[in-house]
Amino acid sequence: MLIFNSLKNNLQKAFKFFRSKGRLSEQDIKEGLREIRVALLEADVNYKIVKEVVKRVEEQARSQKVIESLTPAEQIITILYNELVAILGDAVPLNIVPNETNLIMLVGLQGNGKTTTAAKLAYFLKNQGKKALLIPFDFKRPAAKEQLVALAEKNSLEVFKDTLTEPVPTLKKALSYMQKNGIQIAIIDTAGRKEIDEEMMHELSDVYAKFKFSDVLFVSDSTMGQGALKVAKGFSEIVDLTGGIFTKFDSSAKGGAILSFRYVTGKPIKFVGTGEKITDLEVFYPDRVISRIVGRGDLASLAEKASKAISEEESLSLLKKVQDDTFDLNDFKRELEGIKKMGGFASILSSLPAIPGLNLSALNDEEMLKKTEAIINGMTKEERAHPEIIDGSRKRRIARGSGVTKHDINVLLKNFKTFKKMMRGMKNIKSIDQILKLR
Amino acid sequence: MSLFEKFRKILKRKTDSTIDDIEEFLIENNFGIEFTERFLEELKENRTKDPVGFLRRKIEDILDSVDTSLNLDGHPVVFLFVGTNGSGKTTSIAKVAYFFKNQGKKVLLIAGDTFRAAAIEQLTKLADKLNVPIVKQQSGSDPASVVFDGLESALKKKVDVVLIDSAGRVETKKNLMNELSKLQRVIEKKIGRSANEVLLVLDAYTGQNAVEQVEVFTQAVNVTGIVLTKLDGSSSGGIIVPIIEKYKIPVKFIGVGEGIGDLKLFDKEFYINQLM
Repeated sequence: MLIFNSLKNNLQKAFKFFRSKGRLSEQDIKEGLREIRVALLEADVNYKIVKEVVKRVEEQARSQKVIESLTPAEQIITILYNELVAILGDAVPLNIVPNETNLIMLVGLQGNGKTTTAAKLAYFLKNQGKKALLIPFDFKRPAAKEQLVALAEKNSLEVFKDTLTEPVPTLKKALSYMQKNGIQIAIIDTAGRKEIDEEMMHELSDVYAKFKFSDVLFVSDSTMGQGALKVAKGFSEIVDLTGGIFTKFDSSAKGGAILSFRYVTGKPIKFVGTGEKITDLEVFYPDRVISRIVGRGDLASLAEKASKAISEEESLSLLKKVQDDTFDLNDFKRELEGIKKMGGFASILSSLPAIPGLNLSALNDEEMLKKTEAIINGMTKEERAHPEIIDGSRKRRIARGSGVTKHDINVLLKNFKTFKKMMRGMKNIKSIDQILKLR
Repeated sequence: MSLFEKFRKILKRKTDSTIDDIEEFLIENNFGIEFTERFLEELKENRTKDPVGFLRRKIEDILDSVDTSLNLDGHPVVFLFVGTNGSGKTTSIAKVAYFFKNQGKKVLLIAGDTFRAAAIEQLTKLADKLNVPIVKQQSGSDPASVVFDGLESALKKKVDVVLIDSAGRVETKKNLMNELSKLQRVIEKKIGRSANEVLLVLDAYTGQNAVEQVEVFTQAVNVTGIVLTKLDGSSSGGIIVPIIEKYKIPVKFIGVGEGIGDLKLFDKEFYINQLM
């Protein structure tokens, strides 16, 4: 994941400065905090928040405890971590009450991903055994309803097709449909609107006044700049938001809008959209995200993803193969598939504590994984089990068969060797703590 | 409060917080910290009594450093629209179609976004409304083949302007970026030259990530201009000033409302006035 990456890197520079100082003078604190301030501003964090966070960190950094500490840099990082976590608050789930009608309304600007998110949310609930009805509620954008219906049908989700031309009668009709069919949750995909569009905001407040909503979620694009504050504020003046969903968590967004949302609206971020697939919606855990931003990694999420992608049995059998030295290209391919399921190398590396000098953007994993798969598929069984037999003529054959160059095959074989070496090194590491100490 | 008012107030007060207030204004309008700090340095060195005028001139100079006119050479004129998801490509295409239709031009649309659910339906509805032809295939088909078909049909029908939609893509998706390069090659092959304009559609609300978007999209395709959408919202699109300064890519159109006629050729005065 590349989101927050530039913020993370810029903060690392500030931390490095602090670490290089040993004991901190007034001037050092000032200089380091200036870097932190610039890093936050560069990441689109709201101006007022930056001012406040920097002020609070500064106050605490000047305390005796930090100044007299042997590791003042680590103290400051902890202070910053705590301040940022305080701004984002705790994770908060949806307000779904069993055996009641729960209306979840998605609101926001045009083009921020409401329709896609609505479908993802229905799918997320379905995976939890909760049936949710998708209600197309955008009476403005051409083919908005078709988009939601298409997404619903493709993913076997319930969708209300019998919409009328007006919001209030449509929702009334949908409610009676829910009652008739025993559906207790609805996700309402409203039209995109600007918070300064009086007519459209009036329509929204009208709907809001006439029905009871369990959640009103503000859907926002993670790449939003400083204006995010104004928009979210504008919406929260018309309806009581219960939270936010941030899309494009898979972009290289600076993420300032995410860090600013709760401060401005007082409401938590509940989910983030992490890709284009229907499954790409994740619960938002503020502490994990902040942990990653300050360079401490996010091992909790990584462990969760790993356990989903690779079963315990698989990892045990892998360990055995490494010990017996029978780890071959078939295993390598399986490992790569696991990595792919976890979101690729870049995603994994970004979840680990910061490693100085490692450039994530240089890792073009999607393509490399694809190529590697193609090459291994083009090999014979024997070649996969004993890569050392792959000579020049075999390389030529494989290259022809899988549409790659000989150089690509050399790269793969080298990667395989490195990976194997790495795995051998890993078996000597007893615990995750040891890996952490390596940094 | 507009920048003018704000600055006037600042000047009257003549307090130490002047620099802070200017900084706040620039940051809140997405000029970015790098541009902001540089400007504040210049301002200090210059010791001008008219910081508003100084900023205005600075912005004007940057906007004047690029040519915002459309390249309409050759026949047919071909525009390719690219950008991230939700920036407003499809809507902008309809507006540009309307813009050319009003000049009596024969326009054809190509539904190159075969990925997003109902993107083709959305463009088709807009095409029907405008009464312009559209070339499309099924959802999920290869965009390069749609573009190929579309251009062939455009050449046959001798249309004047071809507008090509493409699927929104986040700048971190390398394979989707390569797909765009392929579309560009198909266009070159089919009409024997590059597209007249490759327009990056950029949402005015975008923060500093806009710089990455420009960086990555210009690597994949030869971006000739920007369509700055949603300028009628509460965001002023200040981010384009540092972008133009760095990449020398002009803004060619601005989206100023939701009506079909609400797309204008870039207008420096309009832009600066809404900004300040």
